[in-house]
Amino acid sequence: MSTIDWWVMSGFLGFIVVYGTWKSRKSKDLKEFLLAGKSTPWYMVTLSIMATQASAITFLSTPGQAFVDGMRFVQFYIGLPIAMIILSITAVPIYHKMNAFTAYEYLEKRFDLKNRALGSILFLIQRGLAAGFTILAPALILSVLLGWDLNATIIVIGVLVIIYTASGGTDAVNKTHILQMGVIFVGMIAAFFMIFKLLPADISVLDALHIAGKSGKLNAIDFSFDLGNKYTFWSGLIGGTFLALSYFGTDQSQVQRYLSGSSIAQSRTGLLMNGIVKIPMQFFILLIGAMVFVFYQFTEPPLYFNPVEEQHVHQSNYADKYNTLEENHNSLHQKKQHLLRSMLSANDTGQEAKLRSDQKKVLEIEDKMKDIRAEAKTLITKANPSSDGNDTNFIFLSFVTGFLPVGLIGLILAAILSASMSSTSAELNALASTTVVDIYKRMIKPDGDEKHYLFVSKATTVFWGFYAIGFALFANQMGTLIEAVNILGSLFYGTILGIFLLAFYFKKIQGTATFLAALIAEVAVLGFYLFTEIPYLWFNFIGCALVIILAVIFEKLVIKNLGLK
Amino acid sequence: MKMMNDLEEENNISGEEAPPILKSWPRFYILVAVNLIVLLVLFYTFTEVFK
Repeated sequence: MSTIDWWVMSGFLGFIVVYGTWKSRKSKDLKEFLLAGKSTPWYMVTLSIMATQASAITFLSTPGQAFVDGMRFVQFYIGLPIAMIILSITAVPIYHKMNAFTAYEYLEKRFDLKNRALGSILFLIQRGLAAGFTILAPALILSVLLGWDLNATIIVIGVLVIIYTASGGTDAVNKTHILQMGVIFVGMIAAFFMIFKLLPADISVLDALHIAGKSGKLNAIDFSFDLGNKYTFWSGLIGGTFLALSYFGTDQSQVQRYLSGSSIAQSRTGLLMNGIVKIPMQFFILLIGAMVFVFYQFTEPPLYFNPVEEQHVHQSNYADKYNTLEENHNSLHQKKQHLLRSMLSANDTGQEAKLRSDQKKVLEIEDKMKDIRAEAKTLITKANPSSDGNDTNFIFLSFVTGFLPVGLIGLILAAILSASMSSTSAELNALASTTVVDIYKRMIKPDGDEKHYLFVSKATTVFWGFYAIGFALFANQMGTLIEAVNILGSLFYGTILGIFLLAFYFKKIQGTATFLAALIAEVAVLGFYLFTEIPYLWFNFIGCALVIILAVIFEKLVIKNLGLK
Repeated sequence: MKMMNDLEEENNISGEEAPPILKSWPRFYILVAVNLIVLLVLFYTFTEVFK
């Protein structure tokens, strides 16, 4: 990495920390520290919600997914706008009117303390692990591709976030989110245009889209109802709605963003605008991945995008086999390049039969290349059994560092690290709020003064920051990073959402039935995850449905008969 | 739709603030829903055109 890139990246990150700390230095009490004094305008709420959801994993893993699997992942977000409307009508006014600091306060008001404790503890477990993962994921990839020290990268990212989050709380988080989203947008748009500039002169934007589409990479919509298929319109609509309802309605890291809105109208507008902007943004990021795929049709791609693992296999007993695979892969790549040009020419001149015949041959070669990559992955995992044989997360950054000009590399690295910091800061902020408001203030020390709680909130932010760093330092690699985070969320979100839906819409169901149903549902979801092949998005629906059905049964059949309350 | 209008009426009665960028909340909800439908149609067209 060049000196200019270092300056661009570290200059921006340093500025974020100083800006966040300086702009939010006046926090005097818990309301200012945890809710930014309830003074945030809607556009800041929108950007903050988006920045919280868009972690570095989004920008590293998503383009790689489009490269490998096409754009069908965009369907994951179909339920999001629906969830934004439902939450704007229901959750936002309820939380605002009761002047809540956290979502879990409502559970005590509606049910009892044990449900509040259960909701907040499920959140702390899930989000505490996810916060570590948010730091680990980009650090892992950056350390492999740029040769940075993994532990040093984790510690630097973590400490920078702790500094401004512990110092300024929600106000610092919201204000830095604006800058972070700014650099993320600029970095992604610049990368998108650079891809087209790097394509051969005779390949137009339309040609690039035809190549991606005819190679099966622009498969944005699939209406088939197939439980074995992770990303379809239906899984996005049903599972995605439940996941988004749970994430935005019950996860404190998001609830805190819109609770800081200056009124119900500002919070609602912030959420609804997210419902409008989020899907196009994800579509754009996936399109970048599809265009990186097109770029590699005219530039020889590595057989495996993780250079460290490639080095391992080259130095192992499998080197000869791997070299043969590389040769075959390259030869197929050359053949495919000729066919693609022939296919484009047939498309331009309207020769339908030749177009279909060329497309068929291209797809056949694509399948052969996939088989070779699969063989290569087998050799990689044989050479290094600790490798997960998955290079999806390395594709985009490998393109950035290998082909983009000096200065832009620094900017995109700043965008990726900003994304990591923006999610982590919101998570630490939310973990601190829940620990202080729902556990410490409610159950351990209810009679402290504002100064004391402010101090404890800052100390708790630092604690969770170091907890996340500690987890990141000791955690191992896990499959596709963005999926791992979503799987982790899906294991808990359904149950939490079920509790909240009972609270909002089932007025006759009481605390004990809800509590028992939630415990059983959580165990069942973990069991489904461990012992079945059900795609993870459905856990949100299953967990939520189980909580509701069991609570209704318990309330009607068991609690009343036994005279429990 | 009826539910949204009822809710809107309820909001007006309780003196709740109007949205900062559109005249009423039902209109805002419809805008978000229509935006989703338009996106789905565009994605479907995009998928089919370049297939």
